[in-house]
Amino acid sequence: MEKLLAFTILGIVTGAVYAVAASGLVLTYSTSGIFNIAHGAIGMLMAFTYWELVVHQGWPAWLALILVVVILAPLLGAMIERILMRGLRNASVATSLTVTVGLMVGLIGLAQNIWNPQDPRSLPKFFGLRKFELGGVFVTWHETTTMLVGLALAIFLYIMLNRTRTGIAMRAVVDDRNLVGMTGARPDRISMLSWGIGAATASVAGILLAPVLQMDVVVLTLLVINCYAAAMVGRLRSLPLTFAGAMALGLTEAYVIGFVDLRGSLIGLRSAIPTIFLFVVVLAMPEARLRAGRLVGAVTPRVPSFRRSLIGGAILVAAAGVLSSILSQGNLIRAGEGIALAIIMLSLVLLTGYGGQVSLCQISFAGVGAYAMAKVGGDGAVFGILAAAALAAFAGALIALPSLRLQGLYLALSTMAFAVFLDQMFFQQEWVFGNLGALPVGRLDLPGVSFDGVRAYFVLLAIVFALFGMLVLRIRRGQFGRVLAAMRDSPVACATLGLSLTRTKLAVFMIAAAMAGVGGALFGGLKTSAGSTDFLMLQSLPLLLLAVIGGITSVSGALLGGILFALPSLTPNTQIFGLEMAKLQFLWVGIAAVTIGRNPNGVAFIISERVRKLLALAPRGSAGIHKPMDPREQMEEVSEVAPA
Amino acid sequence: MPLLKVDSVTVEFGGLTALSEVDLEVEAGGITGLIGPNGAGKTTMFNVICGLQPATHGRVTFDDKDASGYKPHERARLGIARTFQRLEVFGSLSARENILVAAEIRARWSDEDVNPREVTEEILDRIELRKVADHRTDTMPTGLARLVELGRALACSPKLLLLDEPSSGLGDEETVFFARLLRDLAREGLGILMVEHDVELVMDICERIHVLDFGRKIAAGTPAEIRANEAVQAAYLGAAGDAA
Repeated sequence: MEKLLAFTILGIVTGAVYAVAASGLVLTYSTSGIFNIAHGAIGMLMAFTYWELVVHQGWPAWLALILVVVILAPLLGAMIERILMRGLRNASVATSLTVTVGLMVGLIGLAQNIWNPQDPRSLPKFFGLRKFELGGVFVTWHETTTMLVGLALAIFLYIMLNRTRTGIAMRAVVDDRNLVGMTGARPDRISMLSWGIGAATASVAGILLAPVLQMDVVVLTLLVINCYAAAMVGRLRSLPLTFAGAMALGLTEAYVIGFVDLRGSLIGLRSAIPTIFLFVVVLAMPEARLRAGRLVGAVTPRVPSFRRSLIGGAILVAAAGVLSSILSQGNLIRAGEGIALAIIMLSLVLLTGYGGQVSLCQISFAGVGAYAMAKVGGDGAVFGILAAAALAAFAGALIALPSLRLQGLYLALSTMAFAVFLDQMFFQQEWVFGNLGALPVGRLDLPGVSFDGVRAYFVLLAIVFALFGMLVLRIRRGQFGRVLAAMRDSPVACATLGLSLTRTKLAVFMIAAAMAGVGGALFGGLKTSAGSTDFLMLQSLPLLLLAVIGGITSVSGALLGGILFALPSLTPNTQIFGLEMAKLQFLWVGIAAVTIGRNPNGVAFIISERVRKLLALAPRGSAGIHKPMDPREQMEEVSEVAPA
Repeated sequence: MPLLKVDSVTVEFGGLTALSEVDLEVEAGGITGLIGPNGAGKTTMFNVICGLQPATHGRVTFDDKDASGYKPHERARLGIARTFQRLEVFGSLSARENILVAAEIRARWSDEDVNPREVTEEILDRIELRKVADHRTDTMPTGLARLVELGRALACSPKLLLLDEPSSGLGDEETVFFARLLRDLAREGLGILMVEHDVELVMDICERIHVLDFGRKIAAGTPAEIRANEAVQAAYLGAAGDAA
């Protein structure tokens, strides 16, 4: 009985923290329509700032609290809304996700550069270790504070949303932003305010959680997954249901820790509970309703003809041949990593660029592929590559099936949660990569040709990229590519034409996963090993961002993304503003993604259009860059006479 | 038995009743009009028929089948096609590709052995879009884009066509062409249900007209009967006349 009480209290305390953070997430999402993946990262940054002030600088806790929670966090939230999010209101899910992922990665980079992750840190609990007894169970004052904060926030939000002008205006913005604008309230200001409040809740959650959990950049950043799981109970909209979801999640975690005997390979289950919880909620949700009237125009690059893609591929392979005789062995491996990652990014071109579906777990598929290659093709057998593709496709189906019925945002977030799940339940398990944490992976061995040497293997990677690139373009030009474009442009119209969106999404998800799996197998071959820390979720994020920076809508963009990945490590001593490039990867990738996220075609597109203009290759007239038409312009055009 | 039969459909959004006990029938080979002021529930009715909006109560029977539990893509496969009031063209594709992709999607689920490319070319001629066939649709004027949506719907070779304000954005000459096209399609056996604000066009080509107001059906009948109906006059036609 006492044990039950003890773990119930623990569950309520954890649930209270989740509730605090999740309510802020819901508030920002519902007033701005943008899901802030960086929510946990904001909490992390603020918790570290608080640590800096209290522990490092020796400020009194109350003063630091006021500065962080009441001033810095709201300011940061409002700034993020003003600078980054305001322009994204009508952007596609893929674009707004990219920007918030960029923000998250950038904040991680920032924190890791300010506070060296190698140094151990801990944040003291409020009121130290003081505690009191309740029904035979000791409850610390920190836990009591946490519960009270959760309760206070619930009351505060209730009163604000129901009793104050601002709160009512906030609810109105959720219903119809344009109407609110007409009544004289300022929707933009309301969004900014809600982002400010959202950031403040994240900071409170971070400061409460850090002493209990771990003062760790990644751990605190991943709090967003727990928030997402809790908020999904209220479908990212309802605050009361979000509170209920947070409590349910907190209690589930506590009871599993307390009453389920987790041993051996199940030990990772504990940290996987939020993901499992999330998938149960997602499975219980009714199918998303398709809505009309959300047309997202997309500027898309031209699709090169077969001949052009053949020439491009040949040039790439020839260039790789030349490079392989110039670069040192070490640099060849680094450059090869870039190409292997470019192959994985190609899968994102198909999935995200063409199909409009975002995945935050392509690296996990690559890892599954590398695992298959290690088990089946340890000596470099071709079967290994096939097994890699098959197993990754299977994993893709497994991840996608529960969430495919839902909208793009839920799918993307679920892939992130699932990647974390794989981190804990697969990659870090002993039965996967052995007790040394790594398995040898063979380099491909075709009958008659061996790619054992680094030079040959480097050229092989270029050949595979060229072939996959041509395959992706072939798909784009063909029937399936048209269906993908149609699905991206208007899912609702596709459904009314008789297309099963679920099956189409599943197909593209599996193809992309298989492609990433092959990329992962080749990546493992390059390094001749695959290990438990090579394919973590956090590495999927820079991958997606680099693909976006390069240009996620084109094959050349994926290649550019791979090159951008490899460049800093090829030139490790390059310094920008006195800082080492390689160390700053998270930071610059994040910042670049945030700035370029609004142009989904990336740098490759900008370059190719410039080159085209320089060479004056662009045919005159209509075939240049196509600008999407703003729906409002279309409305105005209604009265005009259309040219016959 | 009519091609489409809607039985006392009610749709509630929270506290708001968008449709209340509405009945509707569409015959094969005929053009039926659905009119009413803004917010009367016309587009909601379309969404109910094609499965995008579940009804709170009521039944949709299509081609002697109870289609109420069917998903949008399943209803499309039964033979229901539609266009949208707010355009839903595949903006990154050309007009030809818009129609082609629809024909290709149909070829996947249909037993009929048709060549999607041939179907596409026939439709391009029929709706007279050949001149702009290779233009991207998101750069097209609204009127043309509406024709693309019509062509795309036809590529499914449907039994029932739902047209949501098809003539808005069309010029006078184009409206004449469009009216003739719809009559031809109906003559070939297609059932057409159209929401339309151009009252003259509706009165001209529809055999039957249903009138919605605040989610209720206030009248149904031939164009002449509707014109003479006092409730309709009060709710809609009079107001529409004033606005024009």
